[in-house]
Amino acid sequence: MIKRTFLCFLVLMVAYLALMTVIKPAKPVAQHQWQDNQIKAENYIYATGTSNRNVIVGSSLSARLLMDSLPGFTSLAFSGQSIFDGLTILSHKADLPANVFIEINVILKDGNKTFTENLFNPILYSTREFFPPLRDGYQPLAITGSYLTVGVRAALSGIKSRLVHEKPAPVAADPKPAADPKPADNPVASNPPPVKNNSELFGKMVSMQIDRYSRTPDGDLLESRLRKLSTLVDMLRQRGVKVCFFEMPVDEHLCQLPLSNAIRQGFYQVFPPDKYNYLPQPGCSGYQTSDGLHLIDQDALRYTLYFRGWVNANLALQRPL
Amino acid sequence: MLFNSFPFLILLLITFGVYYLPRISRYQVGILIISSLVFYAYDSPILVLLLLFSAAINIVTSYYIVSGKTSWKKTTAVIGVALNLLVLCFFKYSPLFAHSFFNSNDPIGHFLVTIPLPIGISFFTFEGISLLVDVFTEKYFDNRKVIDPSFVRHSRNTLFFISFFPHLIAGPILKAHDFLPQIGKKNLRDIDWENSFKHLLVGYFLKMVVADNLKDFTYWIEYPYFQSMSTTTLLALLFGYSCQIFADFAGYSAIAIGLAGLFGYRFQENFNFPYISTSFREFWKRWHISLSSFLMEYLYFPLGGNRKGKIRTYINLMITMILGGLWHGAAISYAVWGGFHGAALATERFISDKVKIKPGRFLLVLKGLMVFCFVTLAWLLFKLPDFSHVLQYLKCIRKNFFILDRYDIIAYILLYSLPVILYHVAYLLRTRSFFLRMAKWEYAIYAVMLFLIVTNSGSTGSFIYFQF
Repeated sequence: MIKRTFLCFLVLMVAYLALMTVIKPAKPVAQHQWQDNQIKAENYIYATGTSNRNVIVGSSLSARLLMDSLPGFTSLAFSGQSIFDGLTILSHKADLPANVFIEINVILKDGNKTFTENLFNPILYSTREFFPPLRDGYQPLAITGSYLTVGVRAALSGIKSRLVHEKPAPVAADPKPAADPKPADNPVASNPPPVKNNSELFGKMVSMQIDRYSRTPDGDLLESRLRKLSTLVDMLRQRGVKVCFFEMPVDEHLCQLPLSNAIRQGFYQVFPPDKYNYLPQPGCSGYQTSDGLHLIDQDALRYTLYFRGWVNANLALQRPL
Repeated sequence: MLFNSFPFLILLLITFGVYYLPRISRYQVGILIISSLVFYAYDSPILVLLLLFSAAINIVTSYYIVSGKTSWKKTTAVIGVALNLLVLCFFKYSPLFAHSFFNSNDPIGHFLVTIPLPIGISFFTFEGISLLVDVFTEKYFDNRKVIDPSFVRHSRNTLFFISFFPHLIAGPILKAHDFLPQIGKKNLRDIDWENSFKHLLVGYFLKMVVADNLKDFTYWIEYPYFQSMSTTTLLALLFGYSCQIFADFAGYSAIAIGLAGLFGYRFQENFNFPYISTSFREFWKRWHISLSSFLMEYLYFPLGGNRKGKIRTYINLMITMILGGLWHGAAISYAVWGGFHGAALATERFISDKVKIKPGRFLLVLKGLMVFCFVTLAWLLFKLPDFSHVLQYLKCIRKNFFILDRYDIIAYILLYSLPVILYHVAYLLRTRSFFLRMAKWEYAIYAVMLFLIVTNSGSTGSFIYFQF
């Protein structure tokens, strides 16, 4: 029985690899946020050529940047995670980008070891390198689920419309929700569901964040994270990479609270603005978020264009970064 | 150390290789003890000392129960059980105690909150109690045949019983009378390969493909985020969590049974298709069998069971289930969860005492659905330990009908819950001729599971029952 199981398994594997090689799915399918991060990381790790000239490293806050509007940029901003994951990935790469843009907002959250260990586990790394269908975006059930979603949508809409002829149409939580956002251990580094249209929930989320941002962070923790970042930044600079820091706008009520100020001050002390490049923060007023932290699509686009404009004007990055 | 991690795979291969070397076969138990201690120490080495301390309590007290003065037997057993419970209470319930009786600025309260929760403490403490009770009562075995007269060999056997890695951190809870008689020399040729292979494959499939994928969707059952979800999505999440917790824990238990089999030891099944239960009593005979049978043998029966009248029976059921709930975690919500199940068991018993009808198929299906819905709803207390959040969740189910459904979440939850449904349905239909004919193709099902483990595993997550 055991032998037959393994034989049958081999047949299935060969058939699957052959099928995927023939079909060549146009786009990887992400079932959820973790997989979305995984796919983003794998795309970068296994990419060849020189397309990754500029890399953005960040958390879910900068994962809101619209990459279609940033040609020549690659995002290693991971929802629910921290800048250290993106930087760890960079530290494993042989060919580094010319410029790395590092988000400063979520410095307190440490890297996710499970995430990076999974990416660089010697066996998994080689397997995924030689057999692309074994990468995260090509899981058979994930692909099946994407088709099933269409069926479920049709079935449920049908049932609901039959149940409620005259009742109001279903309310979307956001016209275009973020890619499967979800909370994480640290609310800052998460990408919660869009709740802007639900004013009660939105108010609750913002007040939760105000409460959190009103507390000064643990000085030792901030210092140790900055020290860790400093080591990674030094490593990048030694390898000829130019580094630039940027701060994503958040709800205007959070922008000047003790947590934001302490992080800003911490950065300025360890990475003085006269020695390091900073993309000036345009201020938070006028920027709308879905939950206090994450920009809504419209303002994510606005900030993306600002980001692009500044980079285009300053990409020479005169300082020896 | 996780069963689905590379360090564990390496440890397993080394242990297995050394264990069956003919020249050192007399050290088999010692090899497994060392391996188990490495397994336990991997994440926090200091806590091995606690494991050894707990084992020492049970080694000494069980030895003195057997070989000490007869007049001291009972006292020794009581002291041993009390010490076990004291260790458990100190490490597991100190934070609950601190939150209930001290304010956050009080130094004692602060100290109690910072006490670490050693992984698996609930499991190995119960196993120690089982040893003491078994040697004291001699209900299941003759002490002279099972407890070695040499203190050194007795220590080795007891440490092995408590620390054997497949069951160490999340069960199944072994009972001394099941395990101790099995200790002895094992040979490679005696391994039931097929049985171990099936358990390991099903276990890893349930954990890595079903539970680990579902967890990235049921993650949404978190306050206040669930408030933005529609009624259908909330119900799907709840259903998904019910399947996830089953796949996670039944998967772990199956892996543990398969691993123990590789070393020549047999563990009792811990899950027996619990979601087909048509009564709460049946559910507890099928879910986490090693815990429910432990509670029955070592708590419910000593309390008097059903021998002291109906009212006392209901009270005993409530006490057993509330304590069983608290065993899961140091929070009021776990006691409430146990209380719900206790009340359900007592109500069911009350009704079955009053109403004597033979249920037809329709009624059985209805009862099965009712039990499943109740059990699923009660899992919310595991996911949302704050009772007010549970009420909020239920409120959202009622009022969020017009919010747009998250079709992707619903679809993926259905997809990943399907194996759990099929697993139970296949068991229900196992005697049908169609299924009997399919038996010869069994290997194809196992091959598909293996294929999905390789191609479709979710992100590694620790087992839910580790926290208990």
